[in-house]
Amino acid sequence: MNRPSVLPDGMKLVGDVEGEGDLAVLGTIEGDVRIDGALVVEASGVLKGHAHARSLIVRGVLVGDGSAVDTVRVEPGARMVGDARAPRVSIIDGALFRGRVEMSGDAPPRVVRSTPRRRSTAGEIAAPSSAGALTSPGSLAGVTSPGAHTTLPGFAPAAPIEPPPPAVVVVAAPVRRGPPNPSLPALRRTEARRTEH
Amino acid sequence: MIQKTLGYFGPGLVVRGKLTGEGDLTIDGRFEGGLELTGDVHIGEHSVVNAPVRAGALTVSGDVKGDVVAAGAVAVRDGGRIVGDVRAQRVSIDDGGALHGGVEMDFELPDGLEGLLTP
Repeated sequence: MNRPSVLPDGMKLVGDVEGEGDLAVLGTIEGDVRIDGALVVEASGVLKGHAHARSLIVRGVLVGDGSAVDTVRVEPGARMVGDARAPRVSIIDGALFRGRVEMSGDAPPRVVRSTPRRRSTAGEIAAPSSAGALTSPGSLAGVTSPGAHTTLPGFAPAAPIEPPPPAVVVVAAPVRRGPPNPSLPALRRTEARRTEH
Repeated sequence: MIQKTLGYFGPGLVVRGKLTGEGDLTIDGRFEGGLELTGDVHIGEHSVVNAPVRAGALTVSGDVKGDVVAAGAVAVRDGGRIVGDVRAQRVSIDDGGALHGGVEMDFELPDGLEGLLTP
């Protein structure tokens, strides 16, 4: 009854696969695969599309994102271009992989990403609120960051996620905008000199 | 002769698209789109195939909606059903099988009767 489905070598499907049970891909699929069982892209298999399964094993070629409820395993000889997303992702030595790895679902990576930002703003909180008021009060006041700065030091754990991102934008934006501005006039000068000669 | 792995789509699987290539295939699930294989195709008991089928040979125990072209034999088994035209070297319909559509087999009539085939 639990015989796994097989797309054999020599067959090519242009389209999607979904449903229940396991699937072994030895041929080629151009399209998305979404099953609730185990999905194995064997050494001869090519999957060009997104793959989602309970567990995903790549031994052949996967061009597209691979996500799994349990595990994503990229084995030696595999070539994968795309993001791997699962509670557990393993890329075995000898596998070729290009893409992002996201483990343990959607929510935890966001927390991980936001913590370094929170730290960076916490360090810079003193600078923008005091020095920022001195340098460019108009630009900073318009972004409602002063309110965030005052609340953060007092309730760092209580008010975590909402305030810091705008503060990051405020700090990062002038730095990024800084370099291009002087470089453009410099180009214009050289162009002007060229036209003079 | 190189032994090919047998293709199999299980009962819970839904496949949509165009499938081409060589090798044998058994479908126990659901297929929609187009099927073009050089090998033998078996449509299992509870399967539903909504596609034109072109195969080396075809055995139908499930439900096929679409025209069928086979180089070899087409067999509709007990409980099987084809809705569509069938063109093959040989076509057989078992007791309990159903076929709604035209059947075309390539053969020659005895001398003198050929003229009746095509005016």
